[in-house]
Formats: sequence, C-alpha cells, structure tokens
Amino acid sequence: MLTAEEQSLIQKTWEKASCHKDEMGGESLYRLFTSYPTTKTYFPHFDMSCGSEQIHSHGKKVVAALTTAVNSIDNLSQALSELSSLHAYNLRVDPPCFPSQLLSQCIQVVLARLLGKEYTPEVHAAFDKFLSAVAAVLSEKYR
Amino acid sequence: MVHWTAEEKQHITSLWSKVNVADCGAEALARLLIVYPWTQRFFSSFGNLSSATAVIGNPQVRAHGKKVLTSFGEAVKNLDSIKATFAHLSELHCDKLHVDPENFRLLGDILIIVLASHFAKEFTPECQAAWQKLVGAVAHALARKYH
Repeated sequence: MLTAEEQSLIQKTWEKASCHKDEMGGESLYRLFTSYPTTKTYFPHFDMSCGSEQIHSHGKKVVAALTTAVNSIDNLSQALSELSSLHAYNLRVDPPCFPSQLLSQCIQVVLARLLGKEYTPEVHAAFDKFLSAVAAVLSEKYR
Repeated sequence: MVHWTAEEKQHITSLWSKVNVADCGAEALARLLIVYPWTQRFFSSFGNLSSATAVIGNPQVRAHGKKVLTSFGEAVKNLDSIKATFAHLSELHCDKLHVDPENFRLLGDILIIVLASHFAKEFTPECQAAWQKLVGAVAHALARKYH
C-alpha cells in the first residue's frame, strides 16, 4: 500500500520527468532489450536497433499507461483494468512478475539518470513500490 | 566462466575508475535498507535504522557499505575468475550470515541505480548491460556455495 507521502513523491517526481516523457519509454525499453535479451522474445516483430521507431512508439504507450497509473494512484486496479486484461489474456507475458521487475529496473535507471541527486532514496523507495504495484495489477487476471 | 567482450570489460573498468567506493558503497547499502526494509534483519546491531534519514546518517551503514563495495571491486579486478574470487564469501554468507541470495540480486540492482544517478552520461544502455551482467555474475558467485 502506498502511503499518502509516497503517492505525493511519485506524482511530483513524475511531473519533474514529464518533459522527457517522449524519450523515456523508448529508452527504458531499449535498455530492457539490451540488458535482458530474453525479453525480446515478446517482440519478435520489432526492429530492435537503437532509435527504432517501433521501440520509440511502444515506449510512448508504456509511459502513457504509467501516467494514467500515476494520475489514479489510489485506484490502480481500476485505472489499469483494461491493460490487466490485455496482459493476461492476449499478451500472456510469462511469468507475470519477472519481466516486470526487469522493466521496473530499466525505468528506474532512466529516472535516476534524468534526476541524478533528486532520485533520492525516498523517491527510489516510493517508485520501486509503485512499479511493483503496477506489475501486480497487470498480473491480477492471469489465473 | 563468464565470457566478457572487450567492450563490456571497457565499460566496467572505465566506469569503476570513476567510482568513489566509500560514497557509492554507503549509498547503495543505505538504499537497500530503505527501499527493501526487510533487509534490515541482517543488521540488527547497527543501531538506528528507523527512518531514511537515520539510515543515511548511520556511520555503521557507511562503513559497511564501503566494505561491501570494496569487496565488489575484487570482481572488477578479476572478471575472468569471479566464482573463485567469491568462493569464501559465498560460504560466509550461507553458513555464518544466513543471507537469502535473492538479496544479492536486490543490492546489485540498487548499485546500478546509484551508478545511473551519478554517471548519467556514461551510463549508456550498453554500459548498463555490462554492469547488469557483472552484478548478476557476482550474485551468482555469492550464491554458488550455498547448501
């Protein structure tokens, strides 16, 4: 459960990072594919080169979904309900939590690079918790 | 044995030469205790860990963080024999310290985030990939002697 303080930290941090919104997602995904090549198996049809339009465009979708989550941070289950169904029934990313942990790591690396010292231990803790909560919601309908 | 390309070795050694081991070590350990508070169970003798501020300011956390990262530096110096380098520490963490190896993965990931926040420019995706491989290799070596 995210505390009120954590929710506020997350929203403020996301706001700070918002001017980089367009690149953040693509960079996170590219880092995911570079550090954890097995995750590419979920995107066999993608052009995986650096600067790929598919990665950039999919990255924007991921960031948009996270923005939705940040804006409805006290009701993630409802806000991400459709995405949860998509991941469970169509995409079936398997096992549910493992790739999400890897993506969470890459998103946090991007945020840490962007924010430097401002990615304080408190912000880090809140974000780690938030991304875990998002991953949990996305795997809610798996079985 | 882990296979390293010349580029991966270069990413690792080049970044490591810029790392302030005392500061980064302290920060990484502090973040472990803050982001994953259950890890505090291994440090009950460390005194006040009751808040993020307390953890960050705790001198024992600082000192131990430096010790941990100095030890990690042995992996950087011995990239081609990581398992041998950490064999003794692996036994120690199993037999005396009773640490679940999952925690090595957590600390490794936290170290990566600390490096990303300090070295934004250098921490390219390729650099991150080399370092993720390294922390994975160290975690694996530390878990190897568990029984």
